[in-house]
Amino acid sequence: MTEKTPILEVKNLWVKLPDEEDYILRGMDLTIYPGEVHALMGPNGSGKSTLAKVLAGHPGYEVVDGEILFKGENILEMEPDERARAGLFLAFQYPMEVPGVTIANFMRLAYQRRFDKEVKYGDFYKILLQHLKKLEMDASFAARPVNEGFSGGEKKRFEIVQLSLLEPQLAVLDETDSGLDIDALKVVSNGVNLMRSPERSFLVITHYQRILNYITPDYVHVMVEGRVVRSGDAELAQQLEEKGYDWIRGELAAANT
Amino acid sequence: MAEHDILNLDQDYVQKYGFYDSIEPVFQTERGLTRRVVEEISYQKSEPKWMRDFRLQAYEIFMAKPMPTWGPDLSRLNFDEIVYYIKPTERQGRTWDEVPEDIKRTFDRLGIPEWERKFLAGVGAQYDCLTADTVVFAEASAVPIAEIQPGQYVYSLDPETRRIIKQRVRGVMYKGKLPVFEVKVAGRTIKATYNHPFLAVVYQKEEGRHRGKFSVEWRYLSDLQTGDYIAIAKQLPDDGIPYRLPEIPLTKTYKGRNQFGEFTVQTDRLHTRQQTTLRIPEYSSEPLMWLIGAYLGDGYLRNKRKNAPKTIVEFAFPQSDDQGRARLAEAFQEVFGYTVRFEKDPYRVRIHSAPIARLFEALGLDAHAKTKNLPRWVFSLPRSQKLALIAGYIDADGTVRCSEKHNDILLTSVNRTLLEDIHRLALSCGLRVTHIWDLQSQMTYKGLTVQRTYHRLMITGDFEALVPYSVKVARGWLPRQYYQRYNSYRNGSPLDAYTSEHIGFAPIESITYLGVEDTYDIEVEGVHNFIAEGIVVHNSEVVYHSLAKQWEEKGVIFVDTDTAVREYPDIVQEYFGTVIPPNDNKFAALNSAVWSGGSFVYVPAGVHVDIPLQAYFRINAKNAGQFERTLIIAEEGAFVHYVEGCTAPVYAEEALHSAVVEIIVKPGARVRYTTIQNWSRDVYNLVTKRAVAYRDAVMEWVDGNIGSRVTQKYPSVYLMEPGARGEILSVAFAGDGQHQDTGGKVIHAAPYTSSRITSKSISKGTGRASYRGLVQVLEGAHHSKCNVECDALLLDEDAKTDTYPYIEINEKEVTIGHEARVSKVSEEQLFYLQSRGLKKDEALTLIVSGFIEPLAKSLPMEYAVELNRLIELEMEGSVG
Repeated sequence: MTEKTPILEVKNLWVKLPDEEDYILRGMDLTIYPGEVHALMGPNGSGKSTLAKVLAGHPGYEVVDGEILFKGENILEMEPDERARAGLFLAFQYPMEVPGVTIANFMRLAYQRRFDKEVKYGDFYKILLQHLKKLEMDASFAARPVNEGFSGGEKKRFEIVQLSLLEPQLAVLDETDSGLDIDALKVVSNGVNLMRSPERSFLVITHYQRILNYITPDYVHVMVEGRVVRSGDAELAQQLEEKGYDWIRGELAAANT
Repeated sequence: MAEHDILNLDQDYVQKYGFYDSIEPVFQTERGLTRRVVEEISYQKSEPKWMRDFRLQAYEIFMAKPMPTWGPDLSRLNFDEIVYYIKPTERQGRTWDEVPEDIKRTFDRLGIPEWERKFLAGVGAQYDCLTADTVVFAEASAVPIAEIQPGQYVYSLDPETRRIIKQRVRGVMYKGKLPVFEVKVAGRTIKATYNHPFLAVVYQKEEGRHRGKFSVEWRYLSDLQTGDYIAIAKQLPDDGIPYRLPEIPLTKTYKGRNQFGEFTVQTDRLHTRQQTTLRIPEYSSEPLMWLIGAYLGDGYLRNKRKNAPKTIVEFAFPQSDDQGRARLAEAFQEVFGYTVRFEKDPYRVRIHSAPIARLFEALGLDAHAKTKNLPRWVFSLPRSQKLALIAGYIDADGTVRCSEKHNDILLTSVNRTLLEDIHRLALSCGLRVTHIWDLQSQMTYKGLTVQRTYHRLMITGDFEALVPYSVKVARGWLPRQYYQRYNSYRNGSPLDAYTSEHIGFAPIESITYLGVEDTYDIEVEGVHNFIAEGIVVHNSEVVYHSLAKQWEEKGVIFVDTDTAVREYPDIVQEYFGTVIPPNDNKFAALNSAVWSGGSFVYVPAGVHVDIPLQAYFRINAKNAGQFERTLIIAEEGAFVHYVEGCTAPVYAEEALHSAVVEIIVKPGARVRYTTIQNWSRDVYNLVTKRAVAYRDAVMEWVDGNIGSRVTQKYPSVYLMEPGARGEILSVAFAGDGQHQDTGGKVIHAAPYTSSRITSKSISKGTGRASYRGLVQVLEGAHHSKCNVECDALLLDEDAKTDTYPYIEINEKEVTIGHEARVSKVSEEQLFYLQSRGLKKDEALTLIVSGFIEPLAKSLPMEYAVELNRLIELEMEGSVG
């Protein structure tokens, strides 16, 4: 495994909002190799979602120090669309509504950009239906405006449809489990598991251990105050579930004194 | 976008599309507005007194009315700087190349949906096209339609004399990729769209009559079927002239070197000792054309050594063909003064002469069997020379079969293009030629089996015309009793009244769908048809006229308003200024005083005009005003859709467009008025549009405002009687520095009337879009229903939007809904779309198109497409 190039390397990343003094990410480090599934856990405000957005290139954050290497290349200067076309995918915690734009139109454009080829509307429609079916979404969604009037569960499922359609090399799932009932969680997890392959890596960001029952991670990292403080295997997630984040905080405090 | 388009805009276009497009005015008023200017305008138009009085009264009102103090900033508008009237020039023949880019774009915008509509809806209308490779018989050439130039002359049918004449091409238009059909008739093949008209024989038998009647009419391809008789050109008039050959010097310069240095020697003794009489002719002649034909059939240029210039013309005439060889020698002697010496080679005859070889080269004939082609100038020759060429080709490479059983000539070649050209040449000479067909042959050579494809055509019928020129034909010719002359119908009835030596009719052999191809159409002056691939076809102009004729017969009037004042004074006077009187507002008064142009449309009771009437307005000169006046009257139960587009080139100074549109929708009638306004960014666009709708009538305004500096326009509907309905759809796009102050007005003046106003605006950069609307329910208009919806989208921080919805209700039992929304494109929304791989401008365009989608959905398909395209164009380069 280790002789391969990491698919993602986050090195000493310091990030803040442009107008603020306090850093959200404070020397974040993370390395993911092809085929691995990493879970990133942490209490609210620990900077998990910020990491996800910074990875995808959100323009609202300021990267003050550090690097993000995607497939060995620094992507900090790249626009979000360039990163997407390179094979990085972010499943949003709060997917945006785009009124009047159908899923079919939107996804066709995205598909054409990701794979850099033209695809006829009719051909694409068939492809889209297959992916909708995988996530147990009705074919009628193809003609519905993007996320408009969707339930929370439908929005999350549609994120995974996109993931499945765009075949990224690294998928970052930002709290995809939040707001999902148990049935939806199974469907979504199943969708993700179908996508697992030796070439594809996942970074599953979550507050709860629950989703990790369905998507088994190779590594679990715990993030507190903008950096990873503890890494381990799936066992670590179990411990967290039982003992809560205060346990980690306590340990940290103990180590610092 | 319109790189293929070549199009003339001239007076006929004024008639056709209502274009107002002239650069050199023959008369214009002085700047500023005075009573004298108004009188001058009326005088120039030779108007009746009532119109002059109307103008002068309006002038007084205009002067008296103050500038409106509400709405957009009009302080930069200087009435004294404007030229109020420019009389259009009579000059003709401006080409598309001279047309400013913005006009082309708008023309495109207006043009595209027109054919797309046909394409999507499958109904015929004024556009008809042929594929790009369609060969048109033009003067001095036979040219693919795509290469025809305006001003060139092409062969056309004069329906009066039934003769083929030469007519000037006014314009060539690229029509886009369209589905095309292959039509085969009398050995001719043409590829055309389903709505391309052909001249067809129509046989109609009235019931109870023993015999029917023939007539000849233009019919769309879609209305024709296999077996129907259509007009073909039997031959072109013999009006060609000999071709002037390129000059070939008989001298040669030798370079040498001696002890003094390099020297040159010129000699006129280039030719060999034996060929002292050698000459190169100045013009083409029959024997020369025979030689060229023979050469095309089986000749080559050769050199003595590798890399040496080609000095040998070689013909494959075998020894056994002594008559052919004799003709060859005769021709060389006659044309070039060259004496052919037959060598021992039993198959070939060689001409050793550098000048002759150079002439053949200069004529573009240096090619091998597969790449030879017929020079285009051959089509400009006298018929005798064309026949001589065909004869030469036959003598070198043809098989003449004249017997009891056969009476034809077979031409076989690996070179399909060459054969197609020979085919066209033969047709132009009046020979009867079959279609070209393919044959496969297998050859075994040194143990290798090679499969080859040959192409073959057959000259049949009466080819006696070739006898004087071709040795093979002369040898075998057997005249027959009867030949197909394309002069009779399938039942044998003679069509003498419609045919001539030039024109005949033949049954369609097949119509096959081919797929989508690039298509073109040309416009021909006068007769509006041309000969393409030997078939008589229409151009678009006449189709328009024939449609116009169809409406005319039903009493529809569609003319410019100036003409209407002259030709339909009673009806114009009855309605003019009744919907929008001059004292309605300052700009209506201005228009009433100085108006010029615009459209007058009258649709009689019960008539449905199912093709949109299009008009197009344009500001021509700096500081000029455009004050068109449109009046539409739809009688009871009538239907009409009117579409207008507007543009102006960019001038640095302010220009003013102030139109008035009055519409009267009688009981049960329906009128839809669509505007795509794309004025340049220095135009003040202050327009008053109003319709009155009577019992159960429907008035729809579709108003797209994309251009101008300032637009003030609130299309309104007065609902006068129960059951009347008004719909206003308005979309405005305000870019940097633009202010679109738009909306709609509905007056419910009768009970049980309904209306809907939908407004969508987009503001970008420093643009500002305002919705200004009035809904008024008058006393007694109970059970009125009205719904107003306005949505605004802001693309930038600096962009502005505001809403001024006025509602006045003087009746209790009414249903009024009003909704207004403002949305912003958020960073998060853009980020979401970008994170899926969409570029930023694509993402923005997608959001905007999603925003106007509810409006686009309510438009007919073609306008929705157009709207989207306009928005895309506006969004182009909107990011960094």
